[in-house]
Amino acid sequence: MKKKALLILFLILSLLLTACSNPEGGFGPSWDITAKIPLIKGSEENKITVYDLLGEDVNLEEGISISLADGEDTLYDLGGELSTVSLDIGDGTLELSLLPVPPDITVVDDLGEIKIDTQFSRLVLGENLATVTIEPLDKVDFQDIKLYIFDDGQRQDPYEIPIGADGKGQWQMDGLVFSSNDILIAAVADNANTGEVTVSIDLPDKLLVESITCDVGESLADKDTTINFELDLDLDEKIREELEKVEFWPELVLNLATLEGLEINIKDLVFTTRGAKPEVINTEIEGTGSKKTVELIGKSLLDLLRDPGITGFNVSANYSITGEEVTVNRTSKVGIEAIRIQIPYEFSVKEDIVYQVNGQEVGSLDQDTRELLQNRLEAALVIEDLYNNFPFSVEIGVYLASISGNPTEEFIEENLYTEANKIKSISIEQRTGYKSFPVKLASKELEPFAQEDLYAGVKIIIPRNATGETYKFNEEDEFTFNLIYISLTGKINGGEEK
Amino acid sequence: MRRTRRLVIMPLMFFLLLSVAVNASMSARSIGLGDDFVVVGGAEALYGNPALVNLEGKKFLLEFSATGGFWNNLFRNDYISEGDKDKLLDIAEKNGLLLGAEANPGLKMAIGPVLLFTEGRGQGLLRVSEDYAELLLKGNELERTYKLEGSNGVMAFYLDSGINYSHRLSDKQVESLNEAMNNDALQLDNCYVGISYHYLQGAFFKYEASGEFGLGFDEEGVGEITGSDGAVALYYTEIEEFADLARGHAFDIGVYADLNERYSLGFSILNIGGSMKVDRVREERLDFVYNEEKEEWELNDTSDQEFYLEKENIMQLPLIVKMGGKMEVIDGLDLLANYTISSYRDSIYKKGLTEHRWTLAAEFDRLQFLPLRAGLSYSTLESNLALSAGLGIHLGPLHLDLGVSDLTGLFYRSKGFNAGLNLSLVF
Repeated sequence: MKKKALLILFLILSLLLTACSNPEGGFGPSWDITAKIPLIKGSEENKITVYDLLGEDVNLEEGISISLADGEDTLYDLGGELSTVSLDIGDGTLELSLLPVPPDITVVDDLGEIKIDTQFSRLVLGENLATVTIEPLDKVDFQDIKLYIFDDGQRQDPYEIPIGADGKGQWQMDGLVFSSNDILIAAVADNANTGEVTVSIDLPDKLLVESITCDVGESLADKDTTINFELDLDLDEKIREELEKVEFWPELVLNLATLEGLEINIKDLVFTTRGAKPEVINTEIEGTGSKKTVELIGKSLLDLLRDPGITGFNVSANYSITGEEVTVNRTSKVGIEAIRIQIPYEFSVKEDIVYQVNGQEVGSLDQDTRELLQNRLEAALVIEDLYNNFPFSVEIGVYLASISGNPTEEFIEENLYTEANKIKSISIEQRTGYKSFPVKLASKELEPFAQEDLYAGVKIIIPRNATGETYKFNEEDEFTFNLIYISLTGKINGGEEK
Repeated sequence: MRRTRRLVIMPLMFFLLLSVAVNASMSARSIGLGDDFVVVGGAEALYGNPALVNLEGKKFLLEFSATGGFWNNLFRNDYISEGDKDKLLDIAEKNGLLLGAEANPGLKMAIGPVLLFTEGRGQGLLRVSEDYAELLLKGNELERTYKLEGSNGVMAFYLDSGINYSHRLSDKQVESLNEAMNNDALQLDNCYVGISYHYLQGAFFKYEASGEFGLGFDEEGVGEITGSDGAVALYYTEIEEFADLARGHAFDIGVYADLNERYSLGFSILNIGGSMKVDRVREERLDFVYNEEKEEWELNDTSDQEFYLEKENIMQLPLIVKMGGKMEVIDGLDLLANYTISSYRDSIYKKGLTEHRWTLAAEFDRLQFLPLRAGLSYSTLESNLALSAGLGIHLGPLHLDLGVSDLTGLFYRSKGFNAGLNLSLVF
């Protein structure tokens, strides 16, 4: 029995040893613990959006839009061309006999006649002034007279003209509406005796027009409709750089301003390059409606854009403007409203596009941290909240360098972003995101952390696409990260090290 | 940045060291049963119920004991996965990380109803704030700060010498009690009362911490230490040449009664007025102060300066109240139940700590030379259900008792470990 007791004692002691160990063989608890050493903080500046890639002018529905002209010099001043009409009234003075009552249209002898030499269906006069003179003065014993207008045989409401003691009055013709070329006028005053008083109306040779509804083609038959203007090719340096790296398919687009019922065609559109070697480029215009696409004959628009020697274009063209019943206002301008270079949102990258964040000071790690680094712990470079929403993969290079003194930003960038200082390169697939993206670091990759005065930086590279695949953007496309840090994970009490 | 980064890194290493410090607790028999029961007699009753020290009516006892244990409220002897960590941090929300330890090597001698004892005792309960418990478990998260507030604790090492007197009420007195109760269904049999006096002298140290720290970035994205000023302060008695020994007293009282020949009940209060005082304590501080002008953290370490707080300093022992019962199931097999409430009320714990412990145990001593014990206990402070076991080898007057806990460690569920050995000569 005593031997059994000793056996039980032995068994209990064996159990004790087992009861204290964890599944990994160590004594007591075992767990992984991670120390995080900050390197870089993500910020708005470190975020790359589709607008950083393609510029602020990008319209993702239409692509990049570079404005070359905004219509100031390219529009045809149609309102200006049709802003006056001429009158046929002999010596410019219309003489009427003052009548006591409004006449009938059939009594033509009592009426004065105005003939307008332009064909129209409706005419609204602008700011015009006619002088009315009553003679003889001794017969003038009234304060005002009324002018009755017969337009296309219809008597209109009268215009009341105050008459001064000198027998003169002013006729403001603003807003007077005519619907025919032949206008008849009668002058009426109460108490007037027919045949005793004469009314003279001095009209300008040309009447200013507020608006006219007419056959525009006929009205412009003898007008000059050619245009000449200059376009400056003042591309943003950033866009010019992108043009070198990215294979775009740009289009030259015209937007036409027109009026209801008006048809505009551009004939003989010719671009002459400005710069060291002027070159004449003929074009063809395609498209319907107000948006036209200009095809350069025998020339690539992308080549012209990439050529830094071309500073702009001299452009000439001839408008063909027609329309049978078109209302033209005094301020109406028609024709080329805008010229822009349109780059569709699909493109391929032919050279690496590189962005780099400003190098950030890390400082020097203390001795304890350095010892941790040398302690064969599991080390990783971790990027938190890493999202690549672009339609292409992105490479991230993380750089670490020792830079002493008080370096300028330029100095840091020059000395930080070298191949020797790159501690890790990571590729992030397109349209992927990670809450936490860890990349293991080998012991050798941790050696730079032993240096003093550390600076860290991140270079983000959109790599060249050798296959020529085209990319399509969404408005929310962006590349972001929040934090970059070094994580050192050690196993507490885990038996043998990994 | 260079110096202050260690504020975050070093605590990780420091607490790891703490968590493997080993101490222990109680007697071998009570460790096997899971607690110091109020219905267990013998020399080990000194820790459970002073009324039962002389229960067995032996004339002489000489005992050497060595027990020790440690525990914590978070860590099991298992691999802690990331998912487990979140569950553990839910526990830490209430009291943070608690690290407890006790050790009792000592000698006891009893003659009749009087027991003299002298023991070396070490006990401590250290608390680490919830935030730093998380730091210890998970490591540091960037751009958040970790509060040190709530980190505090006491550890004491002292000689506990004293005397116990346990008295069995006479049959006449018991009969009077039965008559007073006037209940035929409840008949008291053996009744005991007892009292212990402890004279304590030794050393203690207390620690507390304040402030908060973290690693983050400044407005320009440069990595930096963030947080607010704080300090870790240690207060301890200087025991070199026993110049500043802390001294104090404590009393225990207890009662016990057998009921209807089959049942037993007990009640005790331990560490009444238990405290140790010292006229001065040495103070060591590590202050963390942010220098606004230099824009860097500065550490002020006073550990190499002899700075004393010249005022009375008290370390209070936890007040322990116990109650429990025993049932003789069959001849040689007892079932025991116990409830203990311990109040850690030292002033260093800004928020006092209270432990509730429930224990069920069985003791089989049909084979008198080989008593076997097992227990199951739950502690609110440890947040742990512990399994214990023990045995005795009683060869005539020579008794050897062993006890171990927590055997859930066999299933990788243990949050602590207790072991004890008692060697006694009894006749």
